[in-house]
Amino acid sequence: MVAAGRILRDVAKFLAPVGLALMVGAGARFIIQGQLDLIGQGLLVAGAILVLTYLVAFPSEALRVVRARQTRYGSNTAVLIAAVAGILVAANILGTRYHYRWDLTRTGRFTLSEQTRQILAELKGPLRAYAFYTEGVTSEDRIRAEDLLKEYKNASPLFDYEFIDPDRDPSRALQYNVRLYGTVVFEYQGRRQEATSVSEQQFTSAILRVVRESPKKVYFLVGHGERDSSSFDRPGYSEAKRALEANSMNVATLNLTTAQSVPDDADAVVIAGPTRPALPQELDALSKYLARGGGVVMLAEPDTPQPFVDWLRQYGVQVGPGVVVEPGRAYFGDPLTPVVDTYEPGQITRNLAATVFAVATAVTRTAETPTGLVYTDLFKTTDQSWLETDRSVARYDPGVDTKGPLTLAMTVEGRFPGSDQSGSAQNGRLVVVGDADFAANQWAAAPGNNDLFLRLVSWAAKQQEGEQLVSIPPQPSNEPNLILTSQQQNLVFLSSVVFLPAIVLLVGAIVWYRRR
Amino acid sequence: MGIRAILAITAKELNSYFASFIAYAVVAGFLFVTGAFFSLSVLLSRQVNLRFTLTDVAIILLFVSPAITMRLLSEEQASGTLELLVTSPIREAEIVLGKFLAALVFLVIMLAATAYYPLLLISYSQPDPGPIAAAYLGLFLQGAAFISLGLFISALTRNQVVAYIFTFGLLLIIWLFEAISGIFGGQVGSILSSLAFYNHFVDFPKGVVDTKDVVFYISVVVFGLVLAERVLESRRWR
Repeated sequence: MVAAGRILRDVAKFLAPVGLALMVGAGARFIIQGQLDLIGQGLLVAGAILVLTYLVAFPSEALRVVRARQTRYGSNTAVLIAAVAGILVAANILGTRYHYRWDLTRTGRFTLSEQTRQILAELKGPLRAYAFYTEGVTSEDRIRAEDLLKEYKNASPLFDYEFIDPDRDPSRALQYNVRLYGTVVFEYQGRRQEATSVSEQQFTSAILRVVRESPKKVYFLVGHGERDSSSFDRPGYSEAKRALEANSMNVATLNLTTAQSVPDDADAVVIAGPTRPALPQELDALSKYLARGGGVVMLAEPDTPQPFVDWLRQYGVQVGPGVVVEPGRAYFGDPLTPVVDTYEPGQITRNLAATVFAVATAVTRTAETPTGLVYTDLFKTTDQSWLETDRSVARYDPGVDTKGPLTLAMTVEGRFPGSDQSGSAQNGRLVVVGDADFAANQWAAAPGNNDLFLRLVSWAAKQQEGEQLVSIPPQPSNEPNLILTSQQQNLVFLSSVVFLPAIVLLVGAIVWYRRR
Repeated sequence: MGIRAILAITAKELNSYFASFIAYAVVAGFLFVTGAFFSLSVLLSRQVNLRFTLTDVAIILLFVSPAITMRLLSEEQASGTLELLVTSPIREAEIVLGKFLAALVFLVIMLAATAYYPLLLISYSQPDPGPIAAAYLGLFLQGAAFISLGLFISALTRNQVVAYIFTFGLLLIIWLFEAISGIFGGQVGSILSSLAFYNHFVDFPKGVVDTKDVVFYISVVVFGLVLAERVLESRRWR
């Protein structure tokens, strides 16, 4: 009986430490998981029971520990350290909330412009940026992106950013519809806008668009064999749709035989390569839409059905007839695939990369055009090209075929026939391109193709350009280059790697020698 | 608290630093590594930019500063002189502050020697002085935080090697908190990343000085010193 009591007492010694350990384990589980699950609760309860058992079973023992000198001093120290830690944590929380940043660079390159600060001050909810960069590759671009995003974050407590490696986290890349490394997606109240190059101008315009502008609504006309905006096939337009959606545009389809008129919320209607004729009522609905200030993007293939061709003619635009043959600037030598790398000056095509077109036709102005419309050519083929009307032989026949340069795309803007001429009506916008393939998935990888489609639709939908939203001059790089002769290079290397440490060692040796 | 007592300890400690050859070897090794980083970065990038060189210096400080602090309190424990100090009329806080100041002076001398690199650049080109000045402020604050924690670890052990290894381990872990925070995510992750030395340092070499980073480093210094003082004080009743 006595022996049993001793064993019990020995076991009891471990009750309190084991109990405390279990409770610490429960705490750790809570910290890691962010919530106390069943196992954590079990640990906590078991630990508490053990400790309580100890206290109840051996009250005198417990009292002795509490009264010990070490415990008293130890707990004093613990309280003091906890108090100091508490004060420091509070100081840092306040210090993070109310802080000031000095930009000591000569050019002020880490100081955001006033325009950026204003838009960040307007935020009413969280704005998140997701930057898609490969991890481990510290490119200049990535550093600049992070520098910039960090300043945005410091300027607004509602802004935060995250770097995502699209290779390691392909599902996130898919979720945000990201196609290129180096894309930054800004998300605000469920809306998204991407920026594909790094500058304050780009980032702030993207933020402005996602914060201030309501998304534009773009309809793809269906019912005449047009390209399918949801198809991932080579002729499909899923990439084009992606580009629109990544730039604050909502995409839907429009069937005019059932809708009868273009919906009021339409900012633009895209007619992508129709192959079957349209009913007069449908074309009439489109005309009314243009007349009330709408935007239409017509992508016409060489064999566009006659009703569409006639419909365009009434606005002074002739598509075809014929196929563009371009021996001068052909894609890998295929004369039916013209490449365009120089554009007519203008906002839509400014700084646009090279674009590729496949089996295109020409877009020309008719001799008679309605009044009140302004025509602008966007780009042309070379003067070696011609518009071949006889599909069986690709040979320039003077007098029959039209000689280049041929216009491949044109914009028409103004009061369209039938519009309310009293003054309150808005200008309508019509874009006509002699090709529908350039925006298809098949050609989406060509440098400027996707961008061109995006810019055309965005112009038709009257979405404001970044330059119109904000204008932030680019920061000059503040590091001058260092030009050294080879002697100077040697001096830099030797003096910093060899001489300087050697001098210190020498001094040390002298001191050591003299003390000996 | 007596300023004179503190300064007396500082002077004694500095004397013993510069009387030993090891201190010179540490400085020489530090200058060799930073010199290699500096000259390679400048010669390869051909830019008058010390942003990344001076960030590298902060990483080298991770290795070097435990060497500055490892013997401060552990040696006195090993040789038994700490008992003398603690039982003398000098208070624990004065011992801790005196030794901290001595190590800080040593750090400043070491950093001052690296000023050779920007001076060399100035003789060839016009580097932007703002980021360089900011980087040195950051290096000083970061070094002070490292020294304070190193002093605390050195108070815990009588073995210098143990002090070095544990100090280095502690500094490295806190430096890497940002990377570790990604594993946890959520609340724990954000707490860890707000404690990461790296996050508080990176802005300085860019030329951006943020008060919140300054507050952070000063807090770490204070906390390390309080811990070290408490450890010494506990010798009275342990």
